[in-house]
Amino acid sequence: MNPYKILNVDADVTQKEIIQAVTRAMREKRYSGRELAQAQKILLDPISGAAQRFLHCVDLSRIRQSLERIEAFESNRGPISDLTRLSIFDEDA
Amino acid sequence: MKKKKEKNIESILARAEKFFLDGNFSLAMKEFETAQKKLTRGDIAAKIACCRKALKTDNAKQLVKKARKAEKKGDLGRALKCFQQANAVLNEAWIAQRIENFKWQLTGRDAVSLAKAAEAAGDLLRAATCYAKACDARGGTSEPLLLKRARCLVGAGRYAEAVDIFKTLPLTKAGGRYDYGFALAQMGCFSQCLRVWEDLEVNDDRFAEQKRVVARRLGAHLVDCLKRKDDYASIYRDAFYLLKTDDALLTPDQRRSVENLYAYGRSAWIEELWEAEEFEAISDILTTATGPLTPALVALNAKVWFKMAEDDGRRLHTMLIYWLPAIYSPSIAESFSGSIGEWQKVRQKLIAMAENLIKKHDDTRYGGRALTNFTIDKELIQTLAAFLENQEKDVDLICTPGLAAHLGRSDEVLSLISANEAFFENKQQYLEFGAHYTAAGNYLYRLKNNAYEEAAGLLTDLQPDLERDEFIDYAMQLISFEYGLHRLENGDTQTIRYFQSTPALFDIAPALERKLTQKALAFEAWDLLKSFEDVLFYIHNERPSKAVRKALSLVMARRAVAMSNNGQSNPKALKGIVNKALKLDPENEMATGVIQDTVVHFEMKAMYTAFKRQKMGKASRIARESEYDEVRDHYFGFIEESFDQIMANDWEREEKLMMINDLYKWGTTVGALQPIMDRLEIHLNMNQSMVNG
Repeated sequence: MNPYKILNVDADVTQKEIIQAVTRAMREKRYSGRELAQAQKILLDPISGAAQRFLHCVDLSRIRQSLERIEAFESNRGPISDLTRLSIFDEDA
Repeated sequence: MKKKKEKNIESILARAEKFFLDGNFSLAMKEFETAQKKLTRGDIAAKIACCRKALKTDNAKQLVKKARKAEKKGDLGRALKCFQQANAVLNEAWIAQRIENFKWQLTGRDAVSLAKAAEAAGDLLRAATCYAKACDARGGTSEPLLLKRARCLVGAGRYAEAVDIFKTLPLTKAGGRYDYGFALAQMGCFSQCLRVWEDLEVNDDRFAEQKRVVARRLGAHLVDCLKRKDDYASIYRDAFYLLKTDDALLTPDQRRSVENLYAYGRSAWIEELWEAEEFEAISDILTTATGPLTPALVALNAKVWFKMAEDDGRRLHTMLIYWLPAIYSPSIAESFSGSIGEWQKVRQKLIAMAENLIKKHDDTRYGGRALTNFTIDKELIQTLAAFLENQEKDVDLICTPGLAAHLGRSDEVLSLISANEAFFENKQQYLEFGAHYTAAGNYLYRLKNNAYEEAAGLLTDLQPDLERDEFIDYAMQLISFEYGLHRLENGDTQTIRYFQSTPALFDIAPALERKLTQKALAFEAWDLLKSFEDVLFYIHNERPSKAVRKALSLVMARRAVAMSNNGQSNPKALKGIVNKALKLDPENEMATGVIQDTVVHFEMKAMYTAFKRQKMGKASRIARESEYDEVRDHYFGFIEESFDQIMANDWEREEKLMMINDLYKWGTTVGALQPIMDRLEIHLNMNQSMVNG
């Protein structure tokens, strides 16, 4: 089971948000009370919660932080109509 | 005269009818017409009409033949004319179809001529239109005409239409491929353009420059996508394409930027795929990924393969390569908790989760060995982490043998292990640990899974040019020993070759010496004890030790007894072997006991033979000289039995006394302090008194 999916919460969810999410999920009735209770129990336990976070959550934003400034192609925008058709292939149809 | 005239008409009509019936409508019509001039009759007029129609049909058939001949000669115009004339009479569907075809062909031919003329005049749009007509005239499937049309459209700047046509064509020649790529570039499809141009091997500077221009445009396009945070899949795919394609397309600066685009697009797209639970797609990306395998990517691999392994046991193997290195990576552990104390608890939880997953597939061939391998890896990585976690450097080397091999870092790990030999409790632990990270490592896993035959592959599989080190040597010695032991237990009598390196192994691994001796002592198949004996004997010769000597002594004694019990050796041979065993280990209680039993057996046998032959002197000497009371007990038992038999007989008293006296005399040479001797003495004394009295 994926408690984050069951409670529809993010990896950095707080304890208060977990409890609110359980209440919301109970209203939605998409999962059984037992599943919701189990998901809440797992996420409220720091050890189980950390293990589940490792398994079910992916956050690669740190990888991207240093990559957003890319300047090497700044001068290569606009139309490409200056590209002229080469005649070297004309006899080769 | 009138009669003659009628006669003439009758003969004319008769001839006409004859011609008509013969199918000669031309002559028949002529005769009928002659007759009608003389005699106006309705039936003659009908016959004339019939002949005229038949003649027209014949004429049309001739025209069809002419049309076919003209078609064969390539004269489509004449063929069309003949078919048209024929069909005016015949009105048949197939002729109508042929007429239509000829019309299309003639139109197409005209259209091609017009197209060529327009092309020559530089009116490419008109040429394209003409080619379209010509192509339609040929059913719309003429690839050469479609290609010409598409190329004219490119020349006319109608790129989208051209691309639509190019897409449908095989494009085997360079001209078509170039124009297709050119049109794509003009439409902003830079990535597709480069892919189309990829195989064009044209050594032309202008073309090379055009490729560079398009590559730079693609780079700029990808940057725009990134700024819009849009279409990460394309950023990843196209950047990946640019990186693996021709180096000359990009300057070093641009290449570095593309590397960033690639890393950015990959991570963002992976997140999208993760949300969509497209784990297979993520694994494909990770498998083909370029660049360093950072801890974050190791962790991602671990969880992706975990997710896939939940449904498919075949994924366990790969999952296990990443799982432990991921959770033992300090930088990943930081995300577990702010408290270092909790890291280990989270790790244990994650290890348990992996073990549960493996157990789920326990009944499959994928899960069978996975738990053993995981247990080995767990011990290895815990040991590695123990001496690396307090170091600033090399923490990225906390990995399993599988990942080290995958990353090509096994040698680095081995160097680290070599430099930290003092960390290990003993030489064996050090060598066994290191051996798992060598080329022999995989064979050790097989050994631990009791797959002895597979493990023994190490003894033959290793490349001859592989540089041997102490770790590989240890692995070979260990596997040779374990495999030999396995074969020994399974009845192989020729196992000495597997134990040739065992004396050196025992110096490093005393526990294995204990293992061998315990196995030898616990072995119950007596007929195979000889093999154990041979192995122990060999090892004892090469490397004498108390443990092997005692085990050898005991195995020798046990085998000798077993052979004797099965009637395969006589007591003399038994005694000889047991004496050798005792020589090896004088404290061998079993041998001592066997010797005693054997000697007693020997002496008793000789003594009873002497009794049987009434050689009391010899029997008495055996009893007297024996070290064992058991022999003497039997001797006096015989005396007592003989005394009772004498007394039970009806012999003369003097005769009985003489015999009892003999018994007594022999008995005293062996020992007087026996109850039977007292009985004999009393009996003799009583009888002596009676004689005297």
